[in-house]
Amino acid sequence: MLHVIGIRHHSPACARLVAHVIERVRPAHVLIEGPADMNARMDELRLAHAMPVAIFTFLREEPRTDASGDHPGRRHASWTPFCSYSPEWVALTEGTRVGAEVRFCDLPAWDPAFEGRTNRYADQEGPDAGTSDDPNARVLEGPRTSKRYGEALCKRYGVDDIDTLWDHLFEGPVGASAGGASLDELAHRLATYFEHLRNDEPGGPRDAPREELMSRFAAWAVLEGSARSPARDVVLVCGGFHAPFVEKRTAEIVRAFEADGETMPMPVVAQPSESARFGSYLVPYTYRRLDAFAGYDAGMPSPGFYELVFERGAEHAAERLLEIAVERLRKKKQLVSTADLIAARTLAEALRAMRGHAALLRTDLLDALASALVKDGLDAPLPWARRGPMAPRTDPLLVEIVSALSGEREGRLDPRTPRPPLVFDVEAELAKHDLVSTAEPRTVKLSLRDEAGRARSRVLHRLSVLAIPGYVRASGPRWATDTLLDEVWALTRSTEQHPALIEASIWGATLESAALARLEDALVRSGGKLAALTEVLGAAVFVGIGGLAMQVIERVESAIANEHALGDVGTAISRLFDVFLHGELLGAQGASALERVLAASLERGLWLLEGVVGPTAPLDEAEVRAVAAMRDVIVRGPSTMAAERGRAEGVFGRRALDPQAPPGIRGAALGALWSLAQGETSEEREALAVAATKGASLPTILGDFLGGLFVVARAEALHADGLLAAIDEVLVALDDHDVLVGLPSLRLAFSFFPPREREAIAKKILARHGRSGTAAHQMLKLRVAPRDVAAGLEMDAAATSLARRFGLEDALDRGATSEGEGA
Amino acid sequence: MAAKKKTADESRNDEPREPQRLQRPPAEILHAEELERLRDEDDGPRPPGWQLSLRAARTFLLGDERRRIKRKLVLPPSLIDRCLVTLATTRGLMLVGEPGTAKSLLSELIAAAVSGTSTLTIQGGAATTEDQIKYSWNYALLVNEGPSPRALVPAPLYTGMKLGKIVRFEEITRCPLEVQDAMLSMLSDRVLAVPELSSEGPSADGADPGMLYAREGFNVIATANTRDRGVNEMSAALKRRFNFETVFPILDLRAEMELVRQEAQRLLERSGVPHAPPESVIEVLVTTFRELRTGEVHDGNAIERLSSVMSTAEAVTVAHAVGVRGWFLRGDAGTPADVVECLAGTAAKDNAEDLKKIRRYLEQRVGQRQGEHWKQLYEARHLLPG
Repeated sequence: MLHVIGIRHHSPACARLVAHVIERVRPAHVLIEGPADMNARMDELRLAHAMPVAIFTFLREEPRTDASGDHPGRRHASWTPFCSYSPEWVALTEGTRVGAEVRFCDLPAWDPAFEGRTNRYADQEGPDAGTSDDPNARVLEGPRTSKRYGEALCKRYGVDDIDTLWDHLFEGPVGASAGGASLDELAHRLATYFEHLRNDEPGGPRDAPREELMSRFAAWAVLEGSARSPARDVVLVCGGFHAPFVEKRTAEIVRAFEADGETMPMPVVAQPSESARFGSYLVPYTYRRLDAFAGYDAGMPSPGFYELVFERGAEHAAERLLEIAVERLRKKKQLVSTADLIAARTLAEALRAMRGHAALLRTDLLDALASALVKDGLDAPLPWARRGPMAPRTDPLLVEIVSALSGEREGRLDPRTPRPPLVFDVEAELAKHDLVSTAEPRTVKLSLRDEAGRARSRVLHRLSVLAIPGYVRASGPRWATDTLLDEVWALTRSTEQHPALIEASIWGATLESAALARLEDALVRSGGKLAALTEVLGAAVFVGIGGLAMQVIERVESAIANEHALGDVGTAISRLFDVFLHGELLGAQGASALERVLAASLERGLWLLEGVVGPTAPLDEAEVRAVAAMRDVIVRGPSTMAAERGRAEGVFGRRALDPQAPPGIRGAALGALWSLAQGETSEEREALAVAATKGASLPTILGDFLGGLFVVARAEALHADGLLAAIDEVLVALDDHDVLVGLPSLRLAFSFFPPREREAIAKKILARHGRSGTAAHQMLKLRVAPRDVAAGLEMDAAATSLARRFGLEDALDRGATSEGEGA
Repeated sequence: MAAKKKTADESRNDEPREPQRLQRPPAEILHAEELERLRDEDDGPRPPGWQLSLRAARTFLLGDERRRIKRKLVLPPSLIDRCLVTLATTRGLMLVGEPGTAKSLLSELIAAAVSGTSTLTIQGGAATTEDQIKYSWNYALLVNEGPSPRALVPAPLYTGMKLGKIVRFEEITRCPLEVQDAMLSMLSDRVLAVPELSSEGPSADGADPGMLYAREGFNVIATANTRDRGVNEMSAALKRRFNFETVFPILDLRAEMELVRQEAQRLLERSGVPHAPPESVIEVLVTTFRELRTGEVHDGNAIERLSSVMSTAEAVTVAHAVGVRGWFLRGDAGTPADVVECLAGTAAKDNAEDLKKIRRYLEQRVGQRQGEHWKQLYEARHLLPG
C-alpha cells in the first residue's frame, strides 16, 4: 500500500508528520522527492553531518554539432538543501532507522526540467511556476487557479500572504494537550489543501516528466513491497503540489502491471550526453543562503526560527526567538527598552489570541516587534508582509529582526565525506597549467598576448576570487582590456590552502563554477551599486570569459536601471564598450547579451542626462565623460545602437540649449551632437552650436561649458571653424573682469588639448583676427607661473580703470589683454 | 476614499438620521446595521470599554462574505490586526503615511467599531490650541458662577476620557509642539487635570473634581502625514507613547485598479455620467500613478518620483474627471488622452518641476510601450501645458 505524504519543503509540521507516518507504517520503501542520481551514494548522506548540508549539482555541456543537428551548450548549477527539520531529511533518517530502503525518486537536478532553477526545494504554487517571464502580463491576465485558491484562502482567513497562511493553518502546536490539532488532523488538512491547490490541473512540460518518474518509482516500490511476505507498505514524500497527481498516476501504473502480470523493473535515470561534465556532491550549507533564495526559487523563510519550532515546539520557539532578536538588536546598539519588550510581549499575546492561534506564530511575533519597536514612519513595507526580496530602504531594525529569524547556523560535513570535487579540479587545473606551487616561493610571469598565458592567468584569477591563500598578483593590468599585457604572480604554498579549498567548494564543484558563484555573491553584496558592479565585471572578465562574465553583465543590466549617478553609468558604459570592442574576450554568444546591456545602459544614460540640473554646477568630468561614452556607443557600437541616434540627438539638442543644465553638460551635449554629424555641417547645426555657445557666454560658466565640449569632441572642435568662430566671438566680447573670473576654468578647458592642437587653435584665432600664424607658438609658452599672469592681468585692469577714471585711456593696454586670452 | 475631515463641534449633535440624506454620514451611521449585527452576534471577549470584541472589530473592517459584512478597506489584514491590538493596550495608535492612503478612513472605521462613535475628532493644524483639545469655558457662566462643571465646555479629548471612547487626532504633526506635548500626561497617566475646578474642594464622594481620570475604553488614534514631516517634528516623549503603523499605498496592481474602478464609477453615477470608466483608461491611469509614485517602471527602470501626492484617492479623482470630461464634452466614456490633461491639473498641481517629470516620463517611457491605449496617451503628450 502506498502512503503519499504531500509536504511543503522545509516545513517542520510536515517533518513531524513524516516521522509519525514512518513510525506507524514501518514501510519497506521510503521514496523521497530528490535527485535519483544520488541513490547509489545514499551512504554519504547518512554520515554524521552537522546540518544544514546540500547536494550541489552541476552540469556543463559544450555546444556541439552532430548528425542530429546543432546542440547549444548548457550550464546548470543548483542546490538541493536539507536542514535538520526538512521533511525529506527526516524521511531519510527515520526511514533508515526503521530499516526501510530509502531512495530519491525525482529527476536529477541537471535534467532540463530544472533549467533555470537553483533551488530544488522552492515553493511551487502552480504548474511550471517560474516559466512565464513577464510578471506584468501575468498580473493583468489573472492568476492561475492554484494561485487564486491561495489568494481566496488568504482572504478567507484574513492573512497577508501564503507564508502567513501556511503558519496559520499548519505550523501551530500539535496535539490536544497543546491546544492544537492532532497529527492525523494535520495530515487531513494538508491533503485537502494540496488537493485544492492542484485542482486536477495537468503538469506542464517541467512537472510532467518529474511526476511520471516519481509515479514509476512509487509503482515499482508498491509492487515490490506487496510481493514480499508479509506485504509491506511504501511511503512517498514529495511536494504537496505533486502529491495528488502522483498518487493517482501510481495507482494507474500498478493496475496496468498487475493486469499484465509482469514484474516491473526499477526505473532508471537517463544520463546527459557524453560530452557533458556533470555530478552531484554534498557540500556544507548555511541558513543565510537558504533564506536568500528569492523570487521563484524562494521557499519557506526564516530557517533559524523553524528549527526552533521543530526542536522545541511552537510554544517555546517564539519565546526563545524574542530573546535572540533582542540580544541581536542590543548588540547592534539599537535601543530596546524594557518597556518596549513588555509592550512587544503583550502585543504578541494579544495578536495570538485575536488570530486564534494556540501558540505564538512567526508573524504574531514579528508584527508585535514591529508595532512595539518601530518609532517612526517606515519607508518600505514590513519585509514579511509580502514575498520577494527585501525592499530597498527597509528599516535597519526590521532587517536585523528578520536576520535573527534567519539564523546563523552553518553546516559542516562529516570528515569521512568524499572530498568535494573542487579540490580535484583545482589540482588538475594547476598541474595542467604548470602553476603548482613549490615549497620555495615561486614567481610566475605571464603574457596575456597568447592564449596559453591567458588561460594560466584565468586560473590564478579564479583562485584569488575564491580567496585561496598563496596566489598573489604582484603586478598586471588594472582593467582586463588595458594596454598593459603582462602579469606577475607570486605563488607560495601554505597549510591553509586545502581547508580554504574545501570551504570554497560551497561555491561549486569546479574552479570555474565556484569562482562564478563567488562573484555572484559579491554582486549580491554590492547592493546593486553600479560602481561596485563594474569592479566585479572587471574581475569577471579577468577570471572567466564566456558564460561567467556574461552572467555578471546580465546583473549589471538590472543595476543600471536603478542607477542614479550619470557618472557611474558613464563608467559602466565605457567599460562595457571596452569589453564589447574586445569581442574575443566573450565570444560570439556574448556579443548579443552585451549588446542588450549596452542598449539598456545607453537608455539609462540618456534618461539621466535629460534630468541633470544645476545651472552653475562645476564641471563634473565623470558626467561629461558619460556623454562621450554614449556618443562612442552610438557611433562605433553595434548597429542596433544607431537606431537610438535620433533619440539621442533629441536629448543632446535639448540639453545643449537648456539653461538649467550644468554648463559642462551643455558643452558635452553640444560636442556629442557636433561629432555625431561627422563633419557634415548643416546651417541648422551650426546655428545650434552658436546658440548654445552664446547661451553659455557668462564668464562664470563659459570655461565649464568649453571643458565639457572639448572632452567630448576635441578633434571635431579643432576642425569646426564655425564652432571656433562662435567661441572666439564670445571670448572677445568678455571684458577684463569677466576674463579674470572665467580664467581658471577656461585654462582647464583648453588643457584638454595637447600642445600641438593648442597651437593649431592659436593659429586659427590669429588668422581670424588678421594676424600671421607664426607667433602662435609663442602665445602658448609662458615663462612665468599662471598665477603671476593672473595677478599681472588684475594689476593691468586696475591700472586701466584708474587711467580711465582720469580720462587717460590707453589703447595699448587693451591690445595686451585681449592677446592674453589665447593662453 | 480620503475621509472628509470633520470636527467634533460640527457633528456632536448628529442624531442618527437617514444615511442617504447626509452628504457624508460618519461610519457608525453608514454601517449602523452591520455594527449592530456584529454586536448582537459577538460572543468573543471584549476589551474593557469596547463595543465589540477584537475579532468582531476585525471582521467589521476586513469584511466577511458569509456574514454579509462588506470589506471597507484595501489594506493588509496584519496592519488592521496590529492597529486593533495596539488600541487594546495602553499605547496610542499613530497612523503615518502618504496623503490619500486611507489613514483617516481607517481611523474613522476603527473608532466606529471600537467605541461606536467616530466623531470625537480633533483636526490638527497650525492654529490648533489646547482649548480645542481639552476643554474651554462658557464665559457667560464662568463670569456668573465661577469655574464649575456646568461652565466647562468639553473638547473631544475631555469627552473621550470621560466616556471611555476613542479620540481621533488628525494631522497631529501639523500642530504646534506645545499642543502636542499637552497630550503627554493624558496618554501616560490617563488623567486630565482641570485645575480651575480643584479650587472648589473635594466633591461629595471625596473625589477631586479637578482630576478627570480616563474611563476604560479611552485611547487615541492619531494620523500624521509623511509629506508634512518636519513641519512640527514629534518629541521622543510623545513618540514613545504611540505605536507607529505606516499605511502604504496599495501594493497590488489589480487590487488598486479594482478600487479605482469602483470608486470612480460611484462618483460618476453621482455626477450623472452613465458610463463606467473604460478599462483602458483605468489601466493607463493606475499604472502611470503607481510608476510616478514609486519611481519605478514595471521593467525595473527607475524614474523620478513626483513631489505631488500620487495616491489612490487622487487616481480616483482623475478617473472621475476623465469620465466627466468625456461625457459632458464629447458624449463618450473618456479616453487615455484625457488622462494627460487631468494629470496636469490633478497630479502636477502648479508644480513646474513635476510637470517636467511627467513630460519626461511620457516622452521617454510611455512612447516605447505596446498597446493602443498607451499610444493614445503618448500621442496626447502635447496636451500637457507649459
